[in-house]
Amino acid sequence: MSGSRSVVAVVAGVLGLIALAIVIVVVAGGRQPRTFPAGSPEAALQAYLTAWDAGNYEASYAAFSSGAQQRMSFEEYERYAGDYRFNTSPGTQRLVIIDRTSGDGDHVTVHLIVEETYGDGFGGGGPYRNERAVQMVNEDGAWRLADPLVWLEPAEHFKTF
Amino acid sequence: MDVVRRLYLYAMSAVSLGVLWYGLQVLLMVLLRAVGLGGVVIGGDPDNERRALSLAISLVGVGLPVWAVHWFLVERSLNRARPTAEAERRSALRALYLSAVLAALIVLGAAAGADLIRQVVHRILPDVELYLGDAAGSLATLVVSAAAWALHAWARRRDAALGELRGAAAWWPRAYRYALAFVGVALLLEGVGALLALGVDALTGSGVPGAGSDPSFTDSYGFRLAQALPNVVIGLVAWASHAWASDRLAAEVDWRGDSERRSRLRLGYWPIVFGVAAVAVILHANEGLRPLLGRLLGVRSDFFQPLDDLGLVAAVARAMGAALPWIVAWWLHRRWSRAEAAASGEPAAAVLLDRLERHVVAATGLAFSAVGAGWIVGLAIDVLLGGNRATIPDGGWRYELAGFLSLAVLGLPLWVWNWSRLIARRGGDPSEAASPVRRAYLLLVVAVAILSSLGGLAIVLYRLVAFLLGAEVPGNAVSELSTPVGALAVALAVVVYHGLALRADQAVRAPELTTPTVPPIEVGPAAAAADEDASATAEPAVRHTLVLTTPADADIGETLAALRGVLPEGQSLDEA
Repeated sequence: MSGSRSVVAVVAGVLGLIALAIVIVVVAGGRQPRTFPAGSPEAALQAYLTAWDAGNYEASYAAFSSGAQQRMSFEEYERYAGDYRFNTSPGTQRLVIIDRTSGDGDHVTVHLIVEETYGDGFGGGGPYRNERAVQMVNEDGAWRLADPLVWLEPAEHFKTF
Repeated sequence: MDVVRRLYLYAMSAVSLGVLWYGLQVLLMVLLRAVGLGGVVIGGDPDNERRALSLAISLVGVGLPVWAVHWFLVERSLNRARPTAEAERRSALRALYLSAVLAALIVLGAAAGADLIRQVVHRILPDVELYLGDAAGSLATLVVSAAAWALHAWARRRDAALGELRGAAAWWPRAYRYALAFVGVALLLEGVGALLALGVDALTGSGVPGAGSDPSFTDSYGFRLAQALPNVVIGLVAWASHAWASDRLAAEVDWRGDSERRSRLRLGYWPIVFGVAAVAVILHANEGLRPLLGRLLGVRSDFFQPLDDLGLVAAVARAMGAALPWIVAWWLHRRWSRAEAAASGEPAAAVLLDRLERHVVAATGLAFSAVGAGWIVGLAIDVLLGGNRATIPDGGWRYELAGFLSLAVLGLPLWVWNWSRLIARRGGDPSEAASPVRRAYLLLVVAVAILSSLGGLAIVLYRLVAFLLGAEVPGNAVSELSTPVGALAVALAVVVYHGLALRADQAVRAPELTTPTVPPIEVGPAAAAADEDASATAEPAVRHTLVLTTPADADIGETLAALRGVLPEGQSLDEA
């Protein structure tokens, strides 16, 4: 293969890769959040995140266990949530990925990886990955978040504000 | 192709290749995530993937045309129908560009490969800690880097296949190969040493097992395994592939083999490995000898951590485990290098190799033993002159003494063993005094000793000047000065000893330098004719030493006869 032909081969290969990626991501839908079995800890956590993203604080607060709700009132939760959204940089995009779920019985821990990208991705805007471990408890047959959180941050971090 | 145009094309190729590489990495990462690699998404922004795809397409859209056009122009200039083809193929800038791109890509790919291995370990041992690696991102980096590396390696291979390359066009890629082989072997040996040390801890129950303890603790067995294993795998791949490529080239019968076998880089690779192996063995062995000597001096801790009897045994065994791979590698490289020198059929090659190894290892041993000796002499001065370093109640001086004594004990045998052999060789063969390696060693030792004593000298002068000026300086004067004075005393001894050796060598070389030049040295009929010619014109004959390389089965007599047949009148060719 001559050098000039190798350039043509590289260009063709890259264009083919782009076409494949467009087909998979745009046409086939790309990587979408998985639907978890109803009644599972993961499904409960997903419902909490969906409610949070929609700004439905009543629904997301309802995902906390009774113990967590005793430690943080709904009014406090609303106020912390407002502070959190105010302090989050505009243009921050987040993806929440499940690493694994550990524990058994009525107490499990869902280990998450939060991937954050800032702005348009140019100039070192990520993605940056952080870990979160969310404790879940089974109350009356339903899985709930055992600790008070603001999105996925411990609520204690907001009490000083 | 003129130099300015060449600079422009390679600079543009490099920048656009970087943009293209990044775009392709993001593109492949999106693709791999879309097919399920990289974790299960539970929530977040649903447009994340499309945004990443947009970023990738924009980067590729910018980088690909610019790179393709400029790399096409570079490749076109290599077309053999063009008059510039040979100049381009032989250009140092092209060799530098290809070597730098190959090195950068392999570093990126190796880092991604190491990350992937770490993720596998953490997946197997999930209770050790949560690892934040991104499988899709790492695999994308590895694949894109490998593809780009293969393209540039192919370009370099094609350059070499088209004919002889000399000078920088030959040694830039060679420097890349030997640098990668060296980094690879160092990673491999450190990784194997870390695994052996981990095995010792697991057997003796030392260290932090990790299970049930703080999962993020970085001394846990799982974390240490996840750090060591990538070093072993990546180091083995880098070393084996690049050392194998170099050995394969050296075995070639064409110009590539000849160039490789005679290269100074290949010759220099061996002593660098010996020197670094000596440093690694001393440093690792020190980790075991220091607590052992400390115990003899009444210290029952190491690095301020209590150390019981089992802990001491584990520390010694761990140090031996970490040092063992370096000792084995040293021995193997020694065998390989000597076998190659012997196979070259040139006795001088074996002598030069031995000379290089002995000087490098002697310098390493001397450096460690001098540091240890300087501190010990300082402590002795302190005790003899009534300082307070050895009377401090916490006994910290015992721990420090154990550390410096350990360095001296480990370094001294290396220096004594190698230097005594060099002295014996110098005694048996006075021409050894003219060796540039020996001279470089002696001058380097003198220079380092002088430079390392400057700090101590400044402290001594500071105290002296302050005393003369009547300024009060806090602290015990004896204790403040004992360490710098000890270091100065040892540095002075090193300078004097090696300075005398330099002077003795100079005395041997001096007659050579003052010998009248241009004696009539040619012999034989042709030389006689030359002598007659020289006496007739009163111009002296000049002797040139040339190197003739032939295949092993060549008829040297026939070759010399052919060469003599084409010599100009008045010139002769004789075997030395």
